[in-house]
Amino acid sequence: MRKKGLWKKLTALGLAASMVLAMGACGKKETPAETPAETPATSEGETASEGSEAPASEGKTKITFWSPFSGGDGDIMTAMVDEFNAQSETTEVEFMIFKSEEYYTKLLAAITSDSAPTLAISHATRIKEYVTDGLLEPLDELATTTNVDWTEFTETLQQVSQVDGTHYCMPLDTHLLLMHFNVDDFEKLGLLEADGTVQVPRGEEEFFKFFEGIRDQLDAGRMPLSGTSMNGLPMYLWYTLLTQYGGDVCDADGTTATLDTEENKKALSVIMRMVDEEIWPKNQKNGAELFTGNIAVATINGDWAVPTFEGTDGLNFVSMPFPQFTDKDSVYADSHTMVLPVNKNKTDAERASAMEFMTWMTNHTEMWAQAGHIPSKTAVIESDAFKNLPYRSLYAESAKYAKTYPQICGVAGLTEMSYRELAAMIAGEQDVDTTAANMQKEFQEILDSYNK
Amino acid sequence: MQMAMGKEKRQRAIKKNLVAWCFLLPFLYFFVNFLLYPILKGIHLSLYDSTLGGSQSFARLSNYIAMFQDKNFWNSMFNTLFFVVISTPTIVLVGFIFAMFINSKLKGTIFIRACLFSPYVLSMSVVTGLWIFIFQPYTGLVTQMTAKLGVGEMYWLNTKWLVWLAILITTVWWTVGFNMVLFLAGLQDIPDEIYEAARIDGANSRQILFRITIPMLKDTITLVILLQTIASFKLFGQTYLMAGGGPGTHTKTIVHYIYETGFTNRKMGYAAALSFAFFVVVFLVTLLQNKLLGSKEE
Repeated sequence: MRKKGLWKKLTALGLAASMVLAMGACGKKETPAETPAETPATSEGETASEGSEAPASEGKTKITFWSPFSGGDGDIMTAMVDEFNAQSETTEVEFMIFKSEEYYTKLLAAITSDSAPTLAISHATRIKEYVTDGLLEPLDELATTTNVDWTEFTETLQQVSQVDGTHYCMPLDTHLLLMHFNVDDFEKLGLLEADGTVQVPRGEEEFFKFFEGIRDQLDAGRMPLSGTSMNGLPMYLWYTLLTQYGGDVCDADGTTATLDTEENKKALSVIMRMVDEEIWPKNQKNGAELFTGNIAVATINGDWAVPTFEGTDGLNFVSMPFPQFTDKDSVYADSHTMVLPVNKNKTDAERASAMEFMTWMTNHTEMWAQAGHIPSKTAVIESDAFKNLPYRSLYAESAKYAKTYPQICGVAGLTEMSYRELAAMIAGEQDVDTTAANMQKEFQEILDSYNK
Repeated sequence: MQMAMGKEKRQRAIKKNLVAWCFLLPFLYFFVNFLLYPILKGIHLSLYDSTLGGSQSFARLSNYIAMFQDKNFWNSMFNTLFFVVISTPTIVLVGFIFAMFINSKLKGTIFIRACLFSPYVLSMSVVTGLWIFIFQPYTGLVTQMTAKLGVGEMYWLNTKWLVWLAILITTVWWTVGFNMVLFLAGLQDIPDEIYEAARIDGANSRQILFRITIPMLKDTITLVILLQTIASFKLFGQTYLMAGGGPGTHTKTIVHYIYETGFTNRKMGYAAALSFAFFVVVFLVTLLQNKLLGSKEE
């Protein structure tokens, strides 16, 4: 009897403990305001999957399209898909939205089990890694059927859309880091230009002089610059500065990390100077909120924050290119692109439809620009439809010197690593030299794991 | 005669078993397919050098060897154990105190019970969103209160050790209701006659608590501690969302590390090895706990 009881107990224990394994990773990551793929306002982004509303008509080829866009970005993309479905006589696109934090995991899992969608959104910086593992279809041959002229894309995007001379994605946008200013405050400070813009003078000392002047004039409880001190934003700022000071994360062939360098230490110490001088006070949890809530007179945030600021009642703001600290123009950027994931069950008809859709989308990115992003094609950037949108043309020219991460495998690991190291440095847990050394060591390990 | 009886008995037993199996089958189907198979598959995967969506090759025990030399593994395991040690007693004790209070049948306890239980139904992102709002610097509720007291900015979510306190408070607020309800059910199972008899015999309330209530709640306490320990081991959402595992890796838990290894860096084989090691640790701790708490019974 005693023995039986023990056995029972053990079984029960085993079952209980096994749940640990099965239910391990089930957390949800809240949408931080600095995640480019979506709109900041949504804190509880339930997995929304929306079918396009156009009625399915007979004879149309049905294709599926996955994206990580929620909130405002998702609404705009849904409207674009609906518009396409209404116009196309041959193709019907079924649009699916996933939570951004689990998007790439879902996509990878789908590709490995041959249930990938016909086409999907991917950041340009992820392409190389997927191509290396044979997860994406090349597009060049297919692109000739719809007469895609790759030179219509901006120069940066022409480069990032190909791996070793073969195109694997069609870019929708350039999205990049900006600086946004509260117009009312800058008018009071006497720093608003006649044309309603704010011009931060070029150069490191000039930048600090400008913002120290602002800091000294502000009432207690207010701050010159806001910007979330963890997750994406510190990394966007860091990579902007690193490249302005002439550095980069690794060498040209992507095998050796170059982060324990003078350039990186310079970039990191400029960040710490901003923190220590209380121009950008440390440990901010929600930079966008500090700006819309009138605590900060200016904010560091991406172009994706523009719709949120536009939707804030009583906020008069202007969005400008990120200030330049050196003579070398540069700003952190990435691109939302469309790719064809590998799927054994995909038919040629579906491929043709996917290409028709991608071509249409890249020609209509003035709609996508409502989300704050800069269109991928020069002609669209120069179109009246885009120029008539407020703010956008003030910062569109920074797309010319936009700098994405180099084409390497392991950008996801690099992102995670820099989130962690930068947040620890800004919180005062480690100094500039330690941070640079840690970054070098950890990023080298990531690179090595892909270059075995 | 005897043989016929034996046969009948066996038939009855088979029939009885058959019915039992019919009830068990639907559960077993899901258990085997969605729990047992993935676990075995995970153990199998842990012997491979496997990239999510990429190549896979047999690696013997190299994942396990790498794990023992991995500073991040030990660090995140320590962080997880630290949380188990601080959170389990706190949540069990607070749950017990709340249950005792509500069981006292004072006026308004139904309302208070609802208040205490309601956070449990909220999702992780809502709970952490709310507490970030309370703890965040510059505009947070706590900051505004401490500012009135003349204490400066404390950066609750960015300061070593203080961040654990913030996470503990959040977790207690979120999950204590569940333990409270379990304790409450246990308390209500204790017959009133025993209390009555004790009071007639002149026992004071302290004696009643330690000699009657707690011994009678033995099974419930064991269950609550077991469930709470496992829940604490699985900590991920609160630290991930409120502190990003930081500052640095100060609040990075083992589940966070497994998630990062598997889904950010796509090293599925290594992540499977970490998961299995985690499973072994939880299994051993629960076994030990059961032994310690169960032995007093006899």
